[in-house]
Amino acid sequence: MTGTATRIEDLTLHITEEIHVKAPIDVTFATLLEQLGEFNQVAADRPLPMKIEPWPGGRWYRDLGENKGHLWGHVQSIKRPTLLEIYGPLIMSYPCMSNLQYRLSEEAGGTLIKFQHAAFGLILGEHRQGIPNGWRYTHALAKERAEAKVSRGQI
Amino acid sequence: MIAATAAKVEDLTLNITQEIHVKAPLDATFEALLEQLGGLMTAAENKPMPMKIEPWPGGRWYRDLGDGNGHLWAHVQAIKRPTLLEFCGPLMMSYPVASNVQYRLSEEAGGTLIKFQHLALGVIPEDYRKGLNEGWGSINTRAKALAEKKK
Repeated sequence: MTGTATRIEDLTLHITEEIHVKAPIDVTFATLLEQLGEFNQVAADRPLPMKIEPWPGGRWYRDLGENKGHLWGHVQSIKRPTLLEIYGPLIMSYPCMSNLQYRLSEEAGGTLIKFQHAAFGLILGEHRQGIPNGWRYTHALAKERAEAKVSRGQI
Repeated sequence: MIAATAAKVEDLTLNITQEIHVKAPLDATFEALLEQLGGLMTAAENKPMPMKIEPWPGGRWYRDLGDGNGHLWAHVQAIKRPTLLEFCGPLMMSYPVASNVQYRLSEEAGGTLIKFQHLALGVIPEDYRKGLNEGWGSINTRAKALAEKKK
């Protein structure tokens, strides 16, 4: 790919989302880790399991076995159950640095997740368009899974 | 210390591509590449500058000076033996520059084709801009020679 950006603004990406989850904060946090990890998927019929090493500096990566795979990021901050922060290239095979933040807090009836993805780099148009939908899909699944745990009494 | 004098986004980017035709099998070429970027790495004027690569996703590519001293160049962003090796990191640049380095290998008649790309974004001094193309050329030529010697 080549950098076609002509303005500094074209080099940035900023996505925010708020997710209201009807589940306790510790369940929501644990479920978020699962969703970004082994339950990650890009469509109903397209699982894309990832691994997260849930400690500062731990890797978030696609493990293809035999030391093959793709690094998406490193854990920048983790403070259970209120903060998960990741930095890295994510899916982008070009110079682009992303910072992801999940900030969780208790609210009436459950948990509020405040999500932010900020990136700086030579961001392809297809990524700029597709990434917001991807995050919404992932977060909807995390919410659904956390609330299902509550419904099933698994907490 | 360098000063940011870039006036346009283009001044903040670097794009180097090379194609290397290697008369050696894909597997041997990939292994030679890892060796060349690792223990057999060279700097300017072909002076030895051995590096270490941890060949797994997230593994470090770094200069080990012993006793916990050294320089981190990058992390392995993707590795799929024997067709893909990708790094992300600062490389040798001690200023705010993000680099993505890709080696994509494929079979071709008589051997292996390596498609190399180094894309960078940041405050890139002019002397680096000039020297990097030559530097990668030297490294990649050595990797080719190593692979062809090993086959």
